[in-house]
Amino acid sequence: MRIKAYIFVVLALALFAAPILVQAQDDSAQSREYQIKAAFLYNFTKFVDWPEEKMPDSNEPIIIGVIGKDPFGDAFEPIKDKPVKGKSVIVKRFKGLEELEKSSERHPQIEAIRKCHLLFICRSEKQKLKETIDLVKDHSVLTVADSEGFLESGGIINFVMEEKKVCFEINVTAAKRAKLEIRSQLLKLAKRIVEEKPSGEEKS
Amino acid sequence: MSILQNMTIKHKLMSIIMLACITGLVLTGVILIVWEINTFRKELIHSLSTQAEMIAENSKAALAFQDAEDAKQTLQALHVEPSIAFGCVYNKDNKLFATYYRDYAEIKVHPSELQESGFSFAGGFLTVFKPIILDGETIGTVCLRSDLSPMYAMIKNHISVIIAVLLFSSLVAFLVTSRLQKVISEPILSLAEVAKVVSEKKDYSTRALKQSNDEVGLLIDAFNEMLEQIQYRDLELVDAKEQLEVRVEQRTAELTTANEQLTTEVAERKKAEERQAELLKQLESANKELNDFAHIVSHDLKAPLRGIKTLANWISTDYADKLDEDGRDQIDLLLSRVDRMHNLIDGILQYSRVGRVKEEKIQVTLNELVPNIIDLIAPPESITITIKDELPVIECEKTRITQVFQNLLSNAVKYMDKPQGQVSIGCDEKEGYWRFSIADNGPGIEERHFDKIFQIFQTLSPRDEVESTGIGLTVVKKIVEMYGGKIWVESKVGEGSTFFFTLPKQKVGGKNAELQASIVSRR
Amino acid sequence: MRNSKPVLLVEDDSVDAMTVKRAFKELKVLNPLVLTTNGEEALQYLRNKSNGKPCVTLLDLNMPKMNGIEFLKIVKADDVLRKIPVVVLTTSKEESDIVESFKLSVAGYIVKPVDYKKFVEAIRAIELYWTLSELPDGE
Repeated sequence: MRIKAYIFVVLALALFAAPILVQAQDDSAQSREYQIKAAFLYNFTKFVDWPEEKMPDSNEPIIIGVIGKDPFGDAFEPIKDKPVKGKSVIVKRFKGLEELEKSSERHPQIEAIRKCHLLFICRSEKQKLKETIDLVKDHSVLTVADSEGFLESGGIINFVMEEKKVCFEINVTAAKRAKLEIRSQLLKLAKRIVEEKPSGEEKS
Repeated sequence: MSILQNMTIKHKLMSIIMLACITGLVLTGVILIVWEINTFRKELIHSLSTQAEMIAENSKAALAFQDAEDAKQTLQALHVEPSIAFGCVYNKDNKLFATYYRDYAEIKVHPSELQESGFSFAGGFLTVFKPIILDGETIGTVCLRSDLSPMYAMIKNHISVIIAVLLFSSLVAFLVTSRLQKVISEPILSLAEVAKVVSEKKDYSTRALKQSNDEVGLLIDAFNEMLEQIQYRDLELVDAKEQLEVRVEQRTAELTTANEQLTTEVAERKKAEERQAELLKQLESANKELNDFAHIVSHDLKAPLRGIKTLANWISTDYADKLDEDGRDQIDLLLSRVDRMHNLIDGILQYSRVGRVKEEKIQVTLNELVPNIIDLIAPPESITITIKDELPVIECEKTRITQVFQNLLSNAVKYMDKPQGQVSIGCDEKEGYWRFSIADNGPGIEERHFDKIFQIFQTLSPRDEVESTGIGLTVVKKIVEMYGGKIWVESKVGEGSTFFFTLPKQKVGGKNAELQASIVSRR
Repeated sequence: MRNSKPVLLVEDDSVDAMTVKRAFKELKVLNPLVLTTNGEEALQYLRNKSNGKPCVTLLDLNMPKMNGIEFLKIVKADDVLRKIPVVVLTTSKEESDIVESFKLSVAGYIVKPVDYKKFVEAIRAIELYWTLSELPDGE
């Protein structure tokens, strides 16, 4: 009887503590998640080939755009100075489409966004996924997000969490559409490959 | 080394060749193996490195995207290579990212061994490290560890093969050598055989067979030539020996004959000597007999003379008054005749003594002797005797030479007819003899008497004028001739005479000379 | 010499004997002179006991039948006779004779001089000597 009581107390405490712990963990986990994602973004640039016109041989930097509510924080700090394919990498932050439309700098911003090689669409842009994707289509932009249904919306790479591990899935058709060559090495790491049917149906 | 030296030629050759072959083969084998091992290692390193690189290449994405599973799968491909025991990928924090184990036994690589790149052979494994570089940045390290079983297998294989090859080659080499060594050993052996035969049987007619044109051939040629020479010499020796034997025989025969002759000669000589001794003895006894005879004769002849003289004396004494002058004269004549008789007997005795009485020959200094003789003669004041030359020292009997000088000098004195008598004694040294001279300025002698005066009892003056025995010169002649000299006279009547006599210088053997002289005098 | 005792003369040559006799006479020697002509006669005389023993013998050596040396040998072998002194009186000058005589114990050896006068002198010497010298008494 007494033992049971003890167990009960412990469980109760655990239950109460759990959310806090979970929360705490969640917080650190989250920052770590985005650190990894930031690293992944970087690495994506290494395994993806842009067309010549988008990424000429010159010293022009590779632009990683983050549109929406930036979850990365200073996740790019450790890696922002590391060159990719001999070019430096710039991380630009953009406001979400909603804000942009209200802004006076809309056009230049959109131009700037279109100039990105990789565009990370934050979760905050969940509602505007398709628009954002359409915004940059035909501009050979590698669209990456960590929102559900990103690939179905035409996004190219989407982060997914599997058992606390950061994974990703790739829409190869979208990549093709964007004239991007994704190396097989990267492809095989993807947890899910999506191929759109010509009719628009998705095939996974 | 000595074992090698004492083997037969055949074994030597074979041993040497086999040794060389095997050494060569072994060396080859060893070098081969070493080289193979080296090559193999290099290859292993190379292949493993390549594999590591491939893994690295294929693991880039996995590492970049932290897909350990993918990396593991990539590593799994290693199972194709059974020698790879372990493979892993380290992330950039050197923590194991993905691993592969061939067997269940975990052969981990310790962190201390971790290298960024490179390789190491340790503990029976080859460990290769390769950095995984993505865009110039090392994001991890691939480590592959392969055990050396293939290498060991290869070594084993090689060694067995090499040993097999070695054995086989040795065998072949052995067979070949044993066949081919004959090329060298056979001629030598046959030569040795011939030499043996020659030395055992002393048969120099055998020859060795020349089988090849190399140094052995030369040796055989030289050997044969030597044999020929020996044979030739041998024959010559035999020849010479025979000749020598013949000569020896000849010589022996000659020697024997000579010996016999000699023996005969010696016997004869001995006989002659004996005869000589006998003759001498006879002579001596004859001499003695004669001596005794002479004595007895002279004694017995003298005895009556004494009687006559005594009686005559008594008569003249006792009956002097009864005798007239004639009678006394007659008695005187009687007495003088008795004296003469006495003298004659003495003379004969003296003459006979010359040559028989033995006397020692000594060195006589004439320079001393002759003056003594002159004193003895005591010439009167009217006669001067001079020695005009240096007189030598001669070896002779003292009495005899005294007699010579005495007789000649006393003659010169006795017959001197000049108021101033001059007698000079001279000596000339000639080759091999001395020539003495007694020269006087006396009456001289007629040439027809030159020889007569030397005869016994011959006088030139009537006995009543000069009382002379007539034997003086005879004695001198006998003595001089006994010494081997000569005596002669040169004279001019009225002016004087010179008596010459020679005496030989050499000391002729006493006995023989005496013998000769006595033989001469006997005639 | 003792006057009474005779002198034995052993001499074969008559002239020589006469000479001795004459000498004795000249020297007025009183001793009777017994004359023998050879050794045998002399021995006969000596052995004859009726004859008086001579005080001295004058001995010639060269004699017939028995010469002086032989005589000497016999006399000197005789115990009695050898006491009589013997003087050799001979013509022989031979060394051998002298030696032999003295070997036989002669008392003197005189060589007869050829000259008579000298002969007498010799006899005188003998006489003098034997007068002075003691002689053993004979029987």
